[in-house]
Amino acid sequence: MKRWRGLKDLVQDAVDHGATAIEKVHRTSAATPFQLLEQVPGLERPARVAHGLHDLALSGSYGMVRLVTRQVGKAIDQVLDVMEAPSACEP
Amino acid sequence: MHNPETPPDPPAEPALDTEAPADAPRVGGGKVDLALGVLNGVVGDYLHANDNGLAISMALHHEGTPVALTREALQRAYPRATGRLALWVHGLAVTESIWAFPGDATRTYGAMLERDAGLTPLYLRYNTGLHVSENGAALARLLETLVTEFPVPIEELVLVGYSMGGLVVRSACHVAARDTLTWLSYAQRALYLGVPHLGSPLERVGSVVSWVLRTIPNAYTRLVADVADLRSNGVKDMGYANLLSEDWQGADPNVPLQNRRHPVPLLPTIAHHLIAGALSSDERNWVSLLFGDGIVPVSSATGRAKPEDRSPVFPQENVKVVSAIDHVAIAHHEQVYVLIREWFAPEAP
Repeated sequence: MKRWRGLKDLVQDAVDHGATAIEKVHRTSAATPFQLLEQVPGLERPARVAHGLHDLALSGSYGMVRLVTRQVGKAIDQVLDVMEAPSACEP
Repeated sequence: MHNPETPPDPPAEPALDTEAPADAPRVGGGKVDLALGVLNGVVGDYLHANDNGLAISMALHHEGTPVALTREALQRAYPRATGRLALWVHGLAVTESIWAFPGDATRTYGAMLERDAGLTPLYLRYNTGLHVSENGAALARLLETLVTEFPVPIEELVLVGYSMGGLVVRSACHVAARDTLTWLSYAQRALYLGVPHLGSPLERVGSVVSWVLRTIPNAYTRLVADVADLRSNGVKDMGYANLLSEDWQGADPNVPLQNRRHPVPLLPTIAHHLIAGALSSDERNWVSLLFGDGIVPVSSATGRAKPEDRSPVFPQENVKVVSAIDHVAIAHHEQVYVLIREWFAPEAP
């Protein structure tokens, strides 16, 4: 059981940290075209708004991945707790 | 019919018995244990720091299961033990199953040496992702408990380290000498098999590649560098064979190729025996000179240190190089056992 819990923790950490690392790459890569557009006269404001919306959507998407992973992790923890607890029917 | 002009063939030497004794225990656990060994080698420090259930705790293992360091448990696990022990310490990202010859988990140097020299084998399993100095300190404590709890009075303790295991053995000896631990008085002989006493160039190359990727101002290459830097502290210690905590504490992670090794003198009370591997059939061939056994250069495994290596020079009278062998095979190879037997059981038939 200790190993199952360890495996669950490891997968959860990998998804959590992996999502954060990819989000960072995604945000940095997307910033370059937005920064170029923001320098074009007349496009500064719409480009800045689009950039903000993009970053918001990005945070939401990757945040959701992390949130779901943590919730699934908690659910698995509860299942493991139940499996670990001595059965009430046992004499 | 024999031709009178050609000399007769010399009488055949009796074949050396490198078969497993019939009643030898098997070493290592199953495939899960093997996978955990690899995982611990790669991210064992992370698992340990997060108290993850997959982290391996250092312990003696008998037939794949840990042995508690109590008199009763030791008596149960080693009912035929003599007072002469050999401790077998495996290398990076493996378990004690590395000592088994392919296809036969009971055929090990330990079992053969028990038959030929009466040395009871004890197999250690540990988290190879931790710093060598951390494992060295843990091993020193473990051996101190072992010598007090062992059911038979100990006469001799032979220390055998393969690859990283040899560095852990040296680190433990340093701790024992510093803290005047009693077990050190029983350790008169040490055997190092493919041990990178001067470090491993592979890890140094990895560290440079990671540094280069990080300096490129690109999110993708930095991501690759982040992944490369996930490798454990144990792996990083192999670059310069760090034995002490002072070797890695305070090191700047952004500066590659820092040899911060503090020389650890060889204990004069221990006879050091070294076996190195060479990929080609000639030790002086360029393949062997460049790659050694594929992981550890011959100069590193034989301890032929230069002043800039900041390491003691190993006496070369007890150094042997086995040709046409790779790093993994050093832990289970007939030619290697022949040399081990010459040193540790010269009187055996």
